[in-house]
Amino acid sequence: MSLALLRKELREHGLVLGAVLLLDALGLASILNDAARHGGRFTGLQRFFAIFGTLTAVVLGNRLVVREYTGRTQLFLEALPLSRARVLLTKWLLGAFALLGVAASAVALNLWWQSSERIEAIDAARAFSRGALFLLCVWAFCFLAGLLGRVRLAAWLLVGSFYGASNTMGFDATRLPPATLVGEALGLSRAWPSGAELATTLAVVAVGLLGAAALALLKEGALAQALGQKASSREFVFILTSFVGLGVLADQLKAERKQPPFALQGAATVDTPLVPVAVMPTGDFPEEEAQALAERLAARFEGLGEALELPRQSGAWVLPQSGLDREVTLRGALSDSDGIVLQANVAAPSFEVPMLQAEFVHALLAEHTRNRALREDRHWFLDGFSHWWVARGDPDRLALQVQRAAATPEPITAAQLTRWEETEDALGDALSSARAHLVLEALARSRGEAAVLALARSAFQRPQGDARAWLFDRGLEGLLAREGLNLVGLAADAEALRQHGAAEPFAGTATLSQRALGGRQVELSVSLEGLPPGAPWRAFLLQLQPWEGAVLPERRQRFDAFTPQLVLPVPVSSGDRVLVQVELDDEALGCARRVFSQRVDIL
Amino acid sequence: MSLWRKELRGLRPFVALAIAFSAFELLELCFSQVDQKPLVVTFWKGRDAAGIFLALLAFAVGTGLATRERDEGTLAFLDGLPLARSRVFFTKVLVALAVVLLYPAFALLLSVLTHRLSAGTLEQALLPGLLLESFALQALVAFAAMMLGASLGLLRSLTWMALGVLLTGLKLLIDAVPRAALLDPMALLEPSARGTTLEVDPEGLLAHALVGLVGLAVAWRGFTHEGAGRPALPSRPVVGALLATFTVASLLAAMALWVPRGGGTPGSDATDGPAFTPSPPAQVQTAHYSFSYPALSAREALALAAQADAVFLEVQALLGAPPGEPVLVDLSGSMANTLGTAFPGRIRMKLGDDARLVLAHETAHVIAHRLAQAEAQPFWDRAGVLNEGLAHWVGRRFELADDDERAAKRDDELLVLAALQARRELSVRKAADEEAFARELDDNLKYPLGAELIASLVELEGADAPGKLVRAFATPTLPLGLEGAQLWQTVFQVAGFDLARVEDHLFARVAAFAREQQELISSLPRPRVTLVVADLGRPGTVGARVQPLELPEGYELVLRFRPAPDSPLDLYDTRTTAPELPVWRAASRIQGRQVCVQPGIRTPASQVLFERWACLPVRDAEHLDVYPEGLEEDE
Repeated sequence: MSLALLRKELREHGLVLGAVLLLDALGLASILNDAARHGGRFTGLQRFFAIFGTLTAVVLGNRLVVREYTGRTQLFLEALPLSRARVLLTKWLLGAFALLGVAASAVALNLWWQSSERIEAIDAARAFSRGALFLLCVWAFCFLAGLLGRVRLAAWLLVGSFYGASNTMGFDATRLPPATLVGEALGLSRAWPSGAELATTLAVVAVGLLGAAALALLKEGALAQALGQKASSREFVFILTSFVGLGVLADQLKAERKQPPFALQGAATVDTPLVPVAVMPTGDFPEEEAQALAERLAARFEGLGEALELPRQSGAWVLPQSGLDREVTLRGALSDSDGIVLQANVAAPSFEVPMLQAEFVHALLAEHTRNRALREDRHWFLDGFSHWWVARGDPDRLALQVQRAAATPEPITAAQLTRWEETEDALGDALSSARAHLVLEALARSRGEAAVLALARSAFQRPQGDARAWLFDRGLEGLLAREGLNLVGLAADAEALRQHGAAEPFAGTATLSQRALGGRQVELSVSLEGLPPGAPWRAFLLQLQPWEGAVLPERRQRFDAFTPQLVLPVPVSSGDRVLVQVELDDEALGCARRVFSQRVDIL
Repeated sequence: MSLWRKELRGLRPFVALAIAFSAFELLELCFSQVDQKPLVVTFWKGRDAAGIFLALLAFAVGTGLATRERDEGTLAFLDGLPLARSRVFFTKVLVALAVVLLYPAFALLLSVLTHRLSAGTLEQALLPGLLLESFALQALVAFAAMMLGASLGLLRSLTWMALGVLLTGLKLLIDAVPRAALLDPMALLEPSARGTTLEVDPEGLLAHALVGLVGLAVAWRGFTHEGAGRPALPSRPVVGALLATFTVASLLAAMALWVPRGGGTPGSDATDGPAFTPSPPAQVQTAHYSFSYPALSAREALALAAQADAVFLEVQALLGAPPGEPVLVDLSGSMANTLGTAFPGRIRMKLGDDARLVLAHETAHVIAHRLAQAEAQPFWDRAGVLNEGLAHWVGRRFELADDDERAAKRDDELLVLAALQARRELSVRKAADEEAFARELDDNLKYPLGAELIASLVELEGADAPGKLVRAFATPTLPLGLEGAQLWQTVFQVAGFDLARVEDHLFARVAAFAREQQELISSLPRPRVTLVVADLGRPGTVGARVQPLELPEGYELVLRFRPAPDSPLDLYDTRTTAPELPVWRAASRIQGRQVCVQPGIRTPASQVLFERWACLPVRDAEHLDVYPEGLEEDE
């Protein structure tokens, strides 16, 4: 260390250093004033060290290093009878001691601010040690970054990106040292720095010092000198845009993280080898009913895991929701946890539990296959399997499904199965899945249940989560062919089964008409003939986005009517593309019957 | 051609950047299921971030277009070639634009390919026109941003600061003059779609084209007239530091203004619980109502709609009103702590077991409002107790409970009125001043009091009396400015009724009930409040607590506070408590070193029998040495 150099630095930067310290004091006062309202003896210091401490280190780095090298004034220093190493060490120690002084002053000010409370000296010492170590780490980096000259921006952006993107990459960098030094442990001053924190600080300081020494001393400081030249605006722009672009990409490249299972206290739970089943009791759905429902649901998961060789799943949850229509089941999107959470009005008098069971099987398999089971060529198989599995050994359920399949006159064909989006669009969920169910039932009758399960095992294998899933996908027809089956034959068998159904097809007709209003506006009206007077029915409307195919039923706007004519009170415009569907309740089938579905380009 | 090659060489870093991003895009594709990416997903995903990146990249590339040759000293070499400067400049622009659009073009190509692999039968059409339209919009924004960069680039080191100032100014301008949003590039990059076309604002297109062309002209002039000397700022460190500070500040200001606060897309916020798709709206029309409700909760709504016209006709008959326009009913919910709320011609209410009753109650409000509509003065709105009382009286006829339950509920409601009358604190004239009534008594008492008043009126004057009374509020000759008891007196007189007689009849009814319930009424406890102060190392925290007493089953103890006797009603706050349990008051709510508090007991019918107000000086409070456990901290 050189005292003369020290005096020079203080003379040169004293004013700026004083201004920064004043700013620090004001910032600390403001933070402490705010922290007093939230409690915690050292919580203010957390923010102070993280924000103002870092800022002070940056300013010091800029004044002591960057200015010297970009201004090429280090050449004057090199002309003095001082070694480069001594100059470097003096600057480093000056910055380090200044920051230690800031840390000590901050802790002292914090003690004075809270003089009304009794704070043990050891607590203050713990707080100081944490703050001091953190600032040493930051200083070591700032010093090194300062010697990086024109590329220091990239170094800062790298560190910033590391902290910013750490969550995306599946870990939280603020929970790792050295950030933990100014974490909650400092706020409560409950622990001395841990071994890991000490080791990290030492490592950062060592790397920083060695790196700085390498840059400033090797080849007589040529590296630092070269880097100290001003960056061109193109370099600056290139670095900046590269990082912005990388940030955008990092946001999109979110890692597939293992989430903790979804959990709520107080649920009635039944465990099965495949999945724990839980039903949340509510005011309308007391605990004993929740327990009974959980047991009914769990009964249908028994054996499914073994039959399809599925691994254990996170959880299957039911959140009862009164007010929802009994045929509505909503899947909840989980952001921070894993599992299948369905919302349904399970307390409704005629709630269909098998439907809920099938929904769960459907969701489990879709999840397990990374949604590949929802691809159009095999979606019918997933729908059919879910219902078939639930209805096994339940002749009443099967009979109901046969009735539902027979509710529309069109025969079951192979084309209907492969163009499943169109089929679902035309028939609705309940009637289309009944048809798929019959295909599985026909297969089970002709080849035995084992054949269905063997096919399901192949179809519902968990694929890779990348392009290999597409490259090695044989498609359902390929799997059928391997088992010596074909869709035409399966459809014919199912059609023969459907013929046993005696449900009457809807005899009426629905028509959609358009009427031009002023400008580009168009009025849509639907008429439904063939219903008894006063019978309720409903029309659905959805404005379709470009390329929009299959739609979730719960996205459609609904218009109920008690008369045969209904003018849809939502204006559409020429150029719009809308989906119009008409449904009515069928008490005998216990579900909605879709009698009209059309995608219309408004002219 | 050689000029093209030279320019391409100059833009190599940006070509490398475009290739790198394209490679990343490809890599991302390889790490995902390529046949699960239809255009309906990929077209909209990440458009905002990609749009910002495109605009920023174009601007960055543009900054050097008109100045780099001069700054790097290569302009003289170009001048030596048999090429006009204009030709060089336009070649630069075209090459730079092509480089900037490399990545968007590649991304578009990839999304077309993945769509081909992913689309189902309902979504196979590629809509190439729409894709080209979208790409053209990107090209236009890139052109505008690049030319802006090229023209601002003439400012050299001030370029990025100028960008920050421009963006900040634009945002402030948009806030002040919304039409200025046509200059917002993101509006073009994130257009909404209708059917198979994009909804693009033609004025926005024109504005961006103009920005691009003006920028082009400025940059062209700057390039062709380069050489007269570079306008350089002094290179003193202080100037450099100031410049850097202002640049960062202007860019941060722009970012703070443009980046949406509270972050995140609605519905996709990180929440602990599952997020369910919100229900879309549904509607049904009956002869007298137009209902709207959540589509996924239609059954209850339809059950109500099926009996709604009968409800309307009965209410209409009770009030003797003409049918009028259908009433709009929103079944999605109501204001906090209410089952329903009525507005002129419109009702908001919750669905539930009492839906029919609530509909009748709110319909009574709507019909009464129509009957009492006076253009000069809203007299009916000033008679809140009568208004609510009439609706409550109507609603009682639609209660579903059996007779015993209905009678018990009526008794509960009458109990507080009877107790108040026994204490000589009940007055119809006081009820005429709604605010004064709410200051002294429980505001909820206006329902049973008003309903009893209407019931007394009907008993004295006949079934058509309520309709007559309401119509009298619409009398055009009523003196302007009538309020309170004077208004009631006048309106009753206009309708041909005697308010004093009706009042006497009401008191007789309540008194008869009070005699029946004398024992219960006399046994109701009368809570008393004292103040306590807990010293916790800072200025004393003041609390109010009720002295020990025995509460009947189903009753609760409440304390109502106001900062001062003349404080407005919205500063009143009511807390449920227990005997001896202090309710702490925040220092900010104590005015004049006194705590104004009104104790009361809440009956099972949720009405409060309040004692009189007392303003207790803090200095007289009892000091507690120990902070008692299990107390609520008043915030």
